[in-house]
Amino acid sequence: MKNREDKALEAFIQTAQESSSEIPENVLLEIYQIEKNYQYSDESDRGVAIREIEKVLDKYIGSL
Amino acid sequence: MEKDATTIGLTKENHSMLKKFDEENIFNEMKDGYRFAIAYSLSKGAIPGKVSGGKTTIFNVGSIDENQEISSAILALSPQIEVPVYVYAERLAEAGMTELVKIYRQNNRLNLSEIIEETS
Amino acid sequence: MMKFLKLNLKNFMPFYGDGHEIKFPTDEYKNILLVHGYNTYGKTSLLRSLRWALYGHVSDKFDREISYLDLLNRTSAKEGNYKFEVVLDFQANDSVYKITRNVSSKESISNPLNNNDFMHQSWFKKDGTVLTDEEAEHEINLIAPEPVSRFFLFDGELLKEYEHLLEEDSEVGKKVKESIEQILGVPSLSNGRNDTSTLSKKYRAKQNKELKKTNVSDISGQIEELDKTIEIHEKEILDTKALITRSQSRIDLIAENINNIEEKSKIADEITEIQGEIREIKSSIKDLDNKRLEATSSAWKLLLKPKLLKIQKESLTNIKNIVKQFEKVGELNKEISLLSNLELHDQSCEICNTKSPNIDANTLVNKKNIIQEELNRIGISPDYLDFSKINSNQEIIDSLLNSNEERTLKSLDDEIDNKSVQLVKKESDEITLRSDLGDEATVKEITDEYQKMGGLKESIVNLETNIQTEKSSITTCEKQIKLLEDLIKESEEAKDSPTTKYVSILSELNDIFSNSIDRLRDELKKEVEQKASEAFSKLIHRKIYDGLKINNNYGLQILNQEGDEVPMKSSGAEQIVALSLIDALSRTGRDSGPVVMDTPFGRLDDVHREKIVEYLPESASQLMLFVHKGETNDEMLEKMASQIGSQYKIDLQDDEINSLIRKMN
Repeated sequence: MKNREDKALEAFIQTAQESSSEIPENVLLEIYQIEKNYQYSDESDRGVAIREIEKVLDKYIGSL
Repeated sequence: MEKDATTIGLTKENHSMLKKFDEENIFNEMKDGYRFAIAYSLSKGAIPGKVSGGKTTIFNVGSIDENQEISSAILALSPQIEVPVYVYAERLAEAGMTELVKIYRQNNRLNLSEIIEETS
Repeated sequence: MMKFLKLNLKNFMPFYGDGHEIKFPTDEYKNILLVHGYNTYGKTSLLRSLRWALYGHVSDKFDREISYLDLLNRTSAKEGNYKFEVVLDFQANDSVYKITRNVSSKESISNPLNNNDFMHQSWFKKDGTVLTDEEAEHEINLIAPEPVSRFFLFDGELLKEYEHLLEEDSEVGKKVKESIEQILGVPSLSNGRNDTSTLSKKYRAKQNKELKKTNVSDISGQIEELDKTIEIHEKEILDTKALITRSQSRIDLIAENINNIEEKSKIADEITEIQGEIREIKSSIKDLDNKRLEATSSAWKLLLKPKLLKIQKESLTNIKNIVKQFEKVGELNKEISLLSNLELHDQSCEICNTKSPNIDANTLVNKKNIIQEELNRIGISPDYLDFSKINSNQEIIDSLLNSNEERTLKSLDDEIDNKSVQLVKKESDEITLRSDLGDEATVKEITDEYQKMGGLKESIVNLETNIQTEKSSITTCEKQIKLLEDLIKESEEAKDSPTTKYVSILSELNDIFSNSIDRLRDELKKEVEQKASEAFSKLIHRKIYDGLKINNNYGLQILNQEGDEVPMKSSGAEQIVALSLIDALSRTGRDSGPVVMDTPFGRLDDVHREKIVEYLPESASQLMLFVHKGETNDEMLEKMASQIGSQYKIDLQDDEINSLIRKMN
C-alpha cells in the first residue's frame, strides 16, 4: 500500500506533467527531496531548506 | 392506721429537679415524672422511711391517681405497708426522685428506656 | 506497521511510585488489550501517558496543555519528590524504539510552581542507538504523526464532539476538516509551496531593482507594489488568526465557566433537595418526640412490669390452689352428706334403695368427724378466706399489665436516635455542598455567559470571513503578478536575465506545489470517505444504511442503499459515524498501527458494541480498550476471548487515593 509520502510525490510529479512544465523531472525530484528532508523543520529553520533549493536552481539555471 | 393523705409532693430540691425534667421534655408532664419516681422505688424494692426535711405539696392524690392504678400497684407490690397508701406513695416518690436525680447528674441525661431496660 | 511493546510509569498522574507496567500483546490475532477500571481510577491518565511519551506534551479536554505539576503524582509532590517518568517501547518498520521522558524539578528549586521550574529530559533510541531530537521528531512523525494522533489515541469522552459530524458547518465539522487537511496537507508539499513563495518574493525584489532604469520599470514597480499589498494582507491574516485564537481561548474559558456554573446549579439543586429531606426528618423527629412524650405517661407501668408479672404468676397459682380447695370442700361436703344419709336411713340408700354394707354407727361418726375437721381446716385457710381479695388483686394487676400504647418507649427512642443520626449526616452533607458551591449560581449568570459565548463565536465567524476575503485579495494580487511577470518575461530587457529565469521557474514550482496539494487532498478525502464508509457499513446494525459521504464543507452524510442521503439520524448512529471516520482517518494518515480507545462505547447498545469489538481488531495492529464495568458484559468478553492478548485492571492502592496497574490472569 502506498504511504503518504509516495502519494505526495506522485501527486507532485503528475501535477508537474499536467502543467506542461519545462522543469526537468530530476530537478523536480531533487527539490521535492529537499522538502521531504526538511518537512518537520519549523518556520525558523526554513532558511536551510530554502538555501538548498536555491543551490539546485543555481545549478539548473546555470546549465541553461 | 392514720388517715391517708389527700395531697402529695416532694422536698424542695427534688421538686425543682422534677420541674427541670419536665422542662427538658423528659416527661410529658410533672405527674408522669412523679409516677415514674414512685414506680422506680417500687421496682427497686425500696422500703422508704418517713421523709425528712420540708416538702412542698405538688399534687392532689386524685390527679396523680385518677384510676387508682398507682395505689393498686403499691398495694400489690408492697402489701405489708403499715401506713396509708398515699402517705407511702409520697415516700416512694421522694426516694425514687433522689435516685433519678443521681442518675441524671451522673450521665447528664435521664434516658427512660435505658432505666426501664435495667429493671427488666 | 507500528506496535506498542511496553509502557512503564513512575509517579505519573494517579500512579504513585514505580512498577506500573503494561506489556502490550504482539500476536497478530490475539491483539486486544483490555484495561478495566472504574471512572476516575486512571484510564484516561494511561491514554495521556502514551501521548506524552510520543509527543512530549498532552492537553486536557479543553485543549489546554497540562502542566508538569498536574502530570506529577500528588502524593509524590507532597513528599517533595518532584520527578516523574514515562518509558514507552514500541516497534515499527522492523526497528525497535524506546522513548524515555522524565521531568524533575530544577536543582535550585525546592518548591516548583510552573513548567519553568522543571527540567524535561528525553531519550529516543532506535535499535539501541540514541537519536538527536530532530531525528526523533522525524521518526515519530513518520510513524505516528501528531495531527493524526487524536484518531488513534482516542478519548471516548470526546466522542460526543463527533456526533455533530452530520451537521454541515458545525464546529466539529470544522475541526475534522482541519484535521483532515493537516493529514492531507502533507508537510513536504505545503512547505514547498511556502518556500518557493518566499524565494519568489526574494527574486522578484531583485528583479525589480535590476529593471528600475529600464522600460519595464513600471511593470516591475507594479509587481513590487502588489508584493507589498500581499504582505499587508498576509499580516492582516496573521493578526486576524491571532484574534481568533484569543477569542477561542475566551470561548473555552467561558465554556469552562458555564460548566462550573452548571455544576454549581446542580449542587444548588442538590442542596434544595437535601434541605427538603432535612425538613422531613425534622418533622418526623418532632412527631416521634411527641409520641415519646405521650408514651412517658405510661412509662411507670413498664418499670413495674417485671414485678407485676411475677406477682401475676404467683396469683394465678394461688387462684388455682384455691379453686382446688373449693373443689375439695365440695367433695368433702358431699361425703358428709352421704354419711349423714346412711346414718339416718338405716343403712339403705335413699335413692336406689340398695342396702348398704354393714357399717357400724361409730365408724360413720368417726368418718364424719375426720371430714369435718378437714373442712374446718380448709375453711380457716388464709387463701381461702382471701380468695375474693386475691381475685380482685389479679384483676388490678391484669389491668396494669394491659398496656394500650402503640409503640414502646424503647422503639421510639431508637427511631429518634436513627433519625437524629440521619439528620446530622444530611446537615453535614449540606455544609459540604455549600462549601463546594461557593457563591450561588444564578440562571442569569448562565444566560449571560452563553450570550458572551455566542457573541464571540459570531465574531470568529466574521473574522474567518475576513481571512477568506484577505486570501481572495492575495490570490487576485498573485494573478496580477503572474500576468505582469509574463509581460516582463517577454520583454527585451528582461528575457535573458538570470533573475527573470529564477522568477519564472519559482513561479512554476509554486504552482506545482499548490496544485499538487489540492490533488492530493482530493485523493485522500476520497480515500477517507471510502474507508469511513466501509467501516460504517460493518459497524452499523441496520442494513438500510449503506455508507458515508463527506460533503464539500466536511459535514458527513449517511447514505442509504440507493445512494440517497438519509435525512433522519438514528440514535447511536452518530457515534458509529464518528467511530467510522476516526478509524478511517487513523488509517489514512499513517501506516497500520495501534488504536487506543478510552471508554469507546458511550451510549451504544450491546449489538453495536459487539460490532465494534469485531471490527476494530482487524483494522488496527493492536487494539487497546480502556473500559469500565458498565461497558462490557460477560457475553461480550466471551466473544472477544479468542482475541484478547492480555487484560489489566486499574485498582486503588491501599491509601485509596492513588492507583496501580494489575495484570489479570
